[in-house]
Amino acid sequence: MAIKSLPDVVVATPQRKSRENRVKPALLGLSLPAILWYLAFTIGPLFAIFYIALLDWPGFIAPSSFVGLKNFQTMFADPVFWQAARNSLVQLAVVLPIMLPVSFMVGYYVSLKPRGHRILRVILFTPALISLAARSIVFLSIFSPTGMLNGLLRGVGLDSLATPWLASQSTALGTVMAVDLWSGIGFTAILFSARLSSIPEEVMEAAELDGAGQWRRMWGIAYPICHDYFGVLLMLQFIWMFFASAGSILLLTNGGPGNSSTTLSFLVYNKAFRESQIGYSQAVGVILFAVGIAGMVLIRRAFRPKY
Amino acid sequence: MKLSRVSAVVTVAATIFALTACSGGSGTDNKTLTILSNTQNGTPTGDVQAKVIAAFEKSTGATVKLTQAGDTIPGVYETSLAGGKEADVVMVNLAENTNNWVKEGAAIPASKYLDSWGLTDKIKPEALDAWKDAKGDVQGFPYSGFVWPVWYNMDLLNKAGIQAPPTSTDELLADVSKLKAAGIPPLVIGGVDWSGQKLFLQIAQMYMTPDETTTVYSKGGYCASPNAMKGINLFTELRDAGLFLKGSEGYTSDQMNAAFYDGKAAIMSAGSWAFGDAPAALQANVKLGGFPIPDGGSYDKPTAFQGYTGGGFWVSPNGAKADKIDLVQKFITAWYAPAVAASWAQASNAPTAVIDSGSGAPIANLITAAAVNDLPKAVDFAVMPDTVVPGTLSDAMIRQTSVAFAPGTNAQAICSGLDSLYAK
Amino acid sequence: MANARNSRSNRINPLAHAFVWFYALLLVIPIYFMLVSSFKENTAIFNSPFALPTSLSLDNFVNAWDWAALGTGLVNSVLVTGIAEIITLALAIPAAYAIARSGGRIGGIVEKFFGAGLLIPGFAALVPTVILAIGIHLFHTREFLYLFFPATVLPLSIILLTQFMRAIPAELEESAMIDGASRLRVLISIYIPLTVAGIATISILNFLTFWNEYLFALILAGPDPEVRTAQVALPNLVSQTNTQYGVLLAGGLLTMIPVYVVYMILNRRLEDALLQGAVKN
Repeated sequence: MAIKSLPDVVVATPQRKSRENRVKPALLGLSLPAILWYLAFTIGPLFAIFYIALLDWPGFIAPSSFVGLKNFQTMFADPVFWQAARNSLVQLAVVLPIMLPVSFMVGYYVSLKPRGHRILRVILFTPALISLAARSIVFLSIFSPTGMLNGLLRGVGLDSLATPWLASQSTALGTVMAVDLWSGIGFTAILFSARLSSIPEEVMEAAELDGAGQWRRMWGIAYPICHDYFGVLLMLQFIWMFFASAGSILLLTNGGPGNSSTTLSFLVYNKAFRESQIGYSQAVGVILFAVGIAGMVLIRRAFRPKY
Repeated sequence: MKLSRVSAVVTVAATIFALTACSGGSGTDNKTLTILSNTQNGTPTGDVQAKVIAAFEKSTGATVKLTQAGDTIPGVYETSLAGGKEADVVMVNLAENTNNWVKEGAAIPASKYLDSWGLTDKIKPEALDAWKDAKGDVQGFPYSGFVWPVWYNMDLLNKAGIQAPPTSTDELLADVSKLKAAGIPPLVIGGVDWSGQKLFLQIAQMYMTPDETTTVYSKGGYCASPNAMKGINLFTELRDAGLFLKGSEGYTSDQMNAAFYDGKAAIMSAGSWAFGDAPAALQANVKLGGFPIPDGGSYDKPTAFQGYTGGGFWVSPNGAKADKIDLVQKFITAWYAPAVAASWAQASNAPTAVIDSGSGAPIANLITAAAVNDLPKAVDFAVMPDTVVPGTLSDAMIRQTSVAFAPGTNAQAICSGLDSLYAK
Repeated sequence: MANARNSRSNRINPLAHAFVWFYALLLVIPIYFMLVSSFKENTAIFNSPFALPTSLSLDNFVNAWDWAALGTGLVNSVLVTGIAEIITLALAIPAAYAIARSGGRIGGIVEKFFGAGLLIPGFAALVPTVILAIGIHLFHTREFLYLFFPATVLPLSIILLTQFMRAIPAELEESAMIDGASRLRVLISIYIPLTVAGIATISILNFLTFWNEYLFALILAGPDPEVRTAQVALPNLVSQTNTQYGVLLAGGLLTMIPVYVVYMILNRRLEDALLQGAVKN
């Protein structure tokens, strides 16, 4: 039956590599359409970002002029830029170490198919189903001064903790991060459970016979098997948060109050579309790209399976 | 096998493209007029808009393509302009990004057409003035006006033992104590958005002449201006005395309206667009006035805002072309007919820029009636920030003023935060 | 199996149950809020946000449909999402297979090549993309979205799918090729069936990405009601000054229904694949 041929799966891949270093035309052909598409729609614009970063371009309908590295000089001297950099860093350093392990554990839980797991799957995917606009209205109501959270706090007598979460410099960024966690955990957990469910049953059964409890099985067996995948999801969340947080920040706090919840990705959007400084915006984009590469390399290093 | 598969996919794709290719873009035949408007369907003004468009289509036989984009209009318009596909006429207010349109060639100044279309005599001179740019050209065709008074809930004020709205800041401070003693939050404002920004700038200019205000608001230099600093200090004094409902710094203007309508605060500063939503029961209790003035300030009466920059028509390069300009003329002039102006005034609860726009019909909404009949005598009109603050700064400024509403922010921090916006 | 489940070391810590279901509750609350608010007016929404509605009138839904022309918007969303989904799968599946089987340096290079795409800061790429759209005369058309959307998800789809394909033992492929099957046949008859879990996963993800995309759809396809997607249509219910949040949320719910339906269908596929243990002979 199926099970007999499985034990190799876990360690199969690495040993095959040495035999396949030649380029195979058929394989190349299969990936060509994707590569071409990608070049046209992704790589092209990427180079454009670098070029536009060298222009002074005050708005789409205004003329642009070449100013070399001036945007970068302005940027490095701008305290808002450094605050945005700090905020981005804080966001990553706090959210990622919480989100990934928690998602892994929740994903593991779901893959055990406990009672109610079907409903759970649907619920966990919900944040991904709600569009950004709807999500922001909901959270604006939850975190508003008279919203649900404060209502709850007052209800249990913790009045002093009831602050305007999104409008206070000390809590705005934290609130945005909480929303990040809310939306990220559910569906990252689903992604994990997809991978975890394809771990062969007998590996887990063997561990069970050895008397290993769920916790040990989760971290001692499942995690090493999914090590690589964990790294991929970590990388994805890193990229999503680092680059794409602009949307949710725009709708929740608009980067404020002051600049307390402005991150680098929000700065890119704001500079281009609200403050009409397109060249400057793309310069921040270049920095984003550079840091992104550095981050990606770091993560890959940490999570690459060793051959 | 691989080849035939690929060609199958390509054929399917091509067929799909062909089937769906007839779509999108603005009409290129001269019988279609494309309008980009920020007036939405389903609102009273949206209904007027729909009627005007229907009548226009009937009388000219042309088709109107109405597109809407809310407050993303500048972004949408400017990118579509870059692609040569912009709408022929844009209906939007004069504020923020639109301040740059004529300068950048994104719109043709209305002054080119006002006389030949016979509209100069139909529009109030002060409205034409408000729409002029630095060179003296009228940028767009003025249409919608607004008033922006301070609303006093007399029911709640009476409960605290106050008989009339305060007119000086000393009275205001006294009233704040009385209201707090009665457990009624004095004033609610949308600290987080543009409504908070306007109120802040209204108070900050209390000691400045209109010229000074224009200079400081358009160029910066708050910390360096003694009168501006007096105004900012007045703001922090009022704030620290408890003028604002707790948590106001986190409110949006919608939440402010909802709170006031629900009787959760005694005072708010809101514009004529909010007249229509006020519950009928509340209307009889509301008295309109201005914001109380300080001793030694530069105004004689409590201040409010009014303006004619609330909405207007802009002609785009596409609309100015020979094959479209006739339709554009017919469309825009249709709005200035007295009957249309009257219905718009009624739908928007505010005066229009059109001279002949009263049909004499009694105004049903009590608050609107008060605004038209009583308000002008009771207040002085302050400098409306939107006309002087540079468009590209307004977004960042709103984030700065929201900081000002947070308890504990001192005047120096506020002024330097504002100054930093103009530094670039 | 049932016995195994109840054995001591199989017991799931009650804390785990509590935590997971608490989180699930946190997820449900916003949906509940949307549901009850779509039957209310502004004042009720702001002043008693979590109270049940006093009446179940469908006015907000009807208004949302009318005012934002949601019918056309939904059709456009379906077209854009469907076609982009097909194109993405047609591009990503072969490419993932190629990378998974290439191994060594070439495979690594191509994988990194696609990985770089993930680093394009989304909003920054909007400006050059507009210029590109204008240049190929597809600005303000749906057709541009058909072409452009797949590119935005190619890196992720390929990387995830490659992971799934790598987990399949090479022996299956080798024995088939010894029997004379071409690469393409191997791909179609062996790899695709075995990676249904991965394909279903990225299909769901991409569907969501395309369906919920707002900013790019707004700027690239434009506000014309004939062309705009449902997500672009929806914010037209937002006003600077008098938004009717009940109508807005009702509209939001209407645009979420197709997503739920598709999710249910694809999820079933995904579950079936997972329940079968993912590897067949």
